[in-house]
Amino acid sequence: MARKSLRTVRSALSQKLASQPPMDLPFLLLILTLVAFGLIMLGSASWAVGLYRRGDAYAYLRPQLLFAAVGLAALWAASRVDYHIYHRLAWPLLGLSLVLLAVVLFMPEYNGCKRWIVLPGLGTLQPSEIAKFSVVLVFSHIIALNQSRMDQFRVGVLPFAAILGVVAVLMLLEPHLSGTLLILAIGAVLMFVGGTGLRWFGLAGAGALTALSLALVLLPDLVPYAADRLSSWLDPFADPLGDGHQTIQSLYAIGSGGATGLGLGNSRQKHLYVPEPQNDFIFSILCEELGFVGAALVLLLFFLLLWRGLVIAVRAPDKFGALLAVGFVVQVCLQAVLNIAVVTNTIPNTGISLPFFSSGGTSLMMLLGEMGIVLSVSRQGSQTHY
Amino acid sequence: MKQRKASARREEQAAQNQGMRLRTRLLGAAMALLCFGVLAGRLYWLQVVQHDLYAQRAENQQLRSTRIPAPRGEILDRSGQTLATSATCWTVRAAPREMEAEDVDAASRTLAEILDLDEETVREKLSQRTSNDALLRRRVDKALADQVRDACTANGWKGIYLNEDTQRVYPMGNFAGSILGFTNVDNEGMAGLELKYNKALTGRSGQVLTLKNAWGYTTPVQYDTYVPPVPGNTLTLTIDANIQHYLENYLSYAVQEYNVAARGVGIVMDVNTGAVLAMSTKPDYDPNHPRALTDETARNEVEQLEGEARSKALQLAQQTQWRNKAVSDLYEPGSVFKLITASAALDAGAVQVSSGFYCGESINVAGTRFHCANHRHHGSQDLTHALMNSCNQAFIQVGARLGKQAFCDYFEAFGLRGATGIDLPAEPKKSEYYTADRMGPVELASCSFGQSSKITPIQMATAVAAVVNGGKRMQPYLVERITDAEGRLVHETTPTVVRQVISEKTSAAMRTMMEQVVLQGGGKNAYVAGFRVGGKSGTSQKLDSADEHARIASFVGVAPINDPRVVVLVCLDEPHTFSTAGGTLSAPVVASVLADTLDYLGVPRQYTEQETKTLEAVLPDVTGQPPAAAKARLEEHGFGAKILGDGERVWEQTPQSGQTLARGSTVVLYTEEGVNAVQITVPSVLGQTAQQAEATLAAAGLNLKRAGVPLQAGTVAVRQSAPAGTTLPAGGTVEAAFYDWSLPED
Repeated sequence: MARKSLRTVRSALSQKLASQPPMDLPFLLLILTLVAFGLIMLGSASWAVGLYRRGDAYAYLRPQLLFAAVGLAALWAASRVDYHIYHRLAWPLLGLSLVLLAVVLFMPEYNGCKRWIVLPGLGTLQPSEIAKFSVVLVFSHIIALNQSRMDQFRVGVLPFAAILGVVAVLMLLEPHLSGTLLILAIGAVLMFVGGTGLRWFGLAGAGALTALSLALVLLPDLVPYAADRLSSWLDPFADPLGDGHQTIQSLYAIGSGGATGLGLGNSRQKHLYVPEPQNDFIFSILCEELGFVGAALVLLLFFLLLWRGLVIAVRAPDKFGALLAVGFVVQVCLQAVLNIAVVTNTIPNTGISLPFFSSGGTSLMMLLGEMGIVLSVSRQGSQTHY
Repeated sequence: MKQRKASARREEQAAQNQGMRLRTRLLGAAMALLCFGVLAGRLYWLQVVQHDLYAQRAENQQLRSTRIPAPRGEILDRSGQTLATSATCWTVRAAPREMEAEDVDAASRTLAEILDLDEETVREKLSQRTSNDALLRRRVDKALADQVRDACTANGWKGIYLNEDTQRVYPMGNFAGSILGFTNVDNEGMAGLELKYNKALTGRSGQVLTLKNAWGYTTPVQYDTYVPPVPGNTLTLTIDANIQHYLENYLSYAVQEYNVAARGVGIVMDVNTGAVLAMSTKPDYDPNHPRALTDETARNEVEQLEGEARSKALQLAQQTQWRNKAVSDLYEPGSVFKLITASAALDAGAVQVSSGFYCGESINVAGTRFHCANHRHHGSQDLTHALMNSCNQAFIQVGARLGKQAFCDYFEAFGLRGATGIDLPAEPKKSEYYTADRMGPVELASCSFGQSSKITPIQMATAVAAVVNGGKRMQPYLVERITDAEGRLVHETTPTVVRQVISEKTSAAMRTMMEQVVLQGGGKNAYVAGFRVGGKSGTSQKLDSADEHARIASFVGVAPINDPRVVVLVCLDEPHTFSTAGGTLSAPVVASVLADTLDYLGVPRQYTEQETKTLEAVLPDVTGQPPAAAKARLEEHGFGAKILGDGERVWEQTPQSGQTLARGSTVVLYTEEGVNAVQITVPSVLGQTAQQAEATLAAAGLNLKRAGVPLQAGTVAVRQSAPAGTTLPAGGTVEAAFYDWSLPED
């Protein structure tokens, strides 16, 4: 049985490789543009901190280049694989994710969090990245199988809520609030697109509010903590050396960029003022160097990516492909939006990186792989829907 | 079974329905609006609207600004001679944190030695291991700075910094101090022109902006913005260093010789423009060391005190020596003021030059009796003689005829009420005077001869300039022009007529009378052979002084009086000597300054017949000549000769060639080698007239060199260069100064 299925897969593969319908070229171009843009910005934003902290101006760019190359290869490969094979991968991968999410809790802390599994000699692995990927797979899988019964609570809500609940609890234990929120958002988006009754979202919202109120009543310790976070968000200048520091430095960078910026490479804030200029705050440096023009261009690129991704979804031959495209594209764009919202102090500060730009090899590789799956979906799409 | 399930699954994977497409599109629209729209707006707000705010705050933390001090502008005299300039100096600072701990000891020892500091203090400063900045010494010159730099390089010491700065230097030292003023450690003007023109003299500091990282170190990025310093503007003064020298020399001599207790003042002004050519208060101070007391008496007094009393006394003495008496102190002008009363009365038509005034024992004004100095009775006089005699009774009558309203109007017109507006600080806004409504006949009387009102010397000099220059009160000023560092003209002062005070005719009459005062009256000691001098003396009581005998001896002189160019006013405040009369003490000072100044200005001397006779000539060299020829040669030049010995050649002559000597003097010629010069005991000529003195010395075999005003009637020798009883070689010269020291206080 196993051998047979392996054979069918192999034959299917060779068939496909022989004559593949074309993939969505605009989407591919957008991704390549973002990758190139991201690498250039990373080089500019990270050299100062690389030099100061690691004595090597290319300390961050060099591995990123390598991972980008590997990632692009993964993208190419994924784009050529029939995405229907992920039906089979969905549940095993979720299982693996949950195991890894549990394992990571026994890993040494870094910055007060346990988010990374150290693989000696191989680098680090972030289980939450795999969890995101597997949640998209599993949700798409379930929805595709239960297309007509999504309206019911037992089918359209319960399994998703259960999966999200387990994942969320594990991730909150790391703790990894932003990642949790992102996964919850992706899950909700997939449920929404997949046809879950709208009333359940209303109920979920009400439930969340109740839970929040209940938490505040039962755990009054949370109140001052929440108040602190809230006030440092509303007025970061109240505590410029403490909680507000990151935000203030980020705002200085963004604001001093002005309309056209100081020019590529000319950021001053990257000289140790903005924390993590190569990572979560790379967008601040981009704003400082390229100004409002450059920042708006980045927004536009992500928006085009979203638009093109959703076009691919709408044109997809089946629900599974559509949901995969929606899931991955929304995941990328939502993460970008949250990152930019954080560095501009539009929402309270929470650690979240900017896809394609922030330093982080595994994340980039995963990202490109996911984009490859979207491209694979695009190969089978019709050309009639927009 | 499993295959069926798989096919069923494939069937289930039917095309997506319309609802899902709709929901996908809704999702896209929602994200476009809610996420991308909001973020674009937020970025626009931060980057475009609030750009300036954040850019400025960011720069505040990113840029390190190093100040480059701008050199202060120069102060030049009218011919471009430097009176004040700026020199580069260095401030030695330490950043002890950067110095290696084992270097501290050696560095302390060496630096203390180079910089002349206490070794312990230096070690203490360098031992503050966490300190980033400690001042070691300010204002170090290049030589010391180089030594420090070399020592640090040689020993590899880190953390010693030499910051360039500028320092005010007054190359002429104790010269024109009260005009120039001085600056503090921050190069800010504290007094005089330095204070008045502080803004113009102060340049604009430059800066170097360096990008630093959050740890405070300079970034590896080349981002240096250099804003060059702009040096301050240069002041070119109306002061002439030569004339200032004449004034300071003669004034200092008088202040010292006559034990002037409350300092002396001198002003030389161009009468036609109001430009001040020289101005001095003595003793003043060296602007390079303004805090050091110049006056020995004051210094000794302070040094005898201790503790708080000492610092108080020191402060008071410093403030006193910094005061520019010419501009800041009020005084009773005394009889010099009679020039103002006379011009006012003449101009108003209240009196004529020929008007007669009687002076008896005393004059009764509303019950108060006024008499003249030394109880003289001047009898009947016209206005000229009243001025020559400085007759108080006559001027009481002049004032009465003028009337108090007219008197006060002219007082104001001459600019004696308010500040002259000269470009110096600390000029009183208002002098002390009576207004017409508060002035009774007694006040009018005393005001008429110059008591009861108090004005500043600069007001007096400006008013006298108006009296003689055709009646124009000029705006006195010290700065001719201001130029920037590139030499471009920033400001040029044009002489300003404040108002026409008296008519040209009145002015001409005043000039004639003032010349008579010097030729025959109380100003005779101000006579200068070859120049026509007009003037007026004054000796005022200090009415508000505890010392009843305190006087101010003053004299104002103008020359050439027929075509006035300069006015010189000298006031000696509280002289303690044989006399307190302005005509005795101050007139010679004025005459000397006038003589040198006019010579310097190239005004030709025109001698009268009488003056020509006593002119001095240069002695020719007759050594080596046969005695007869030598004698003939000397006679050709107007000198007599006395031949000693029988030789064929003149070996030696006394006085020697090249010296100037009055014509008619006798030169002694030695014709034999090795003959010892005949030594003659000098007789006293003190108290003798010029003719008597000449005879006395001739009889002894010596020659007279005249000084002072020997041609004036009533003048006698008051000083002789070689005291009586000393010996001089035969034919030698004795210089004697002839003055009339019997002049009364007026």
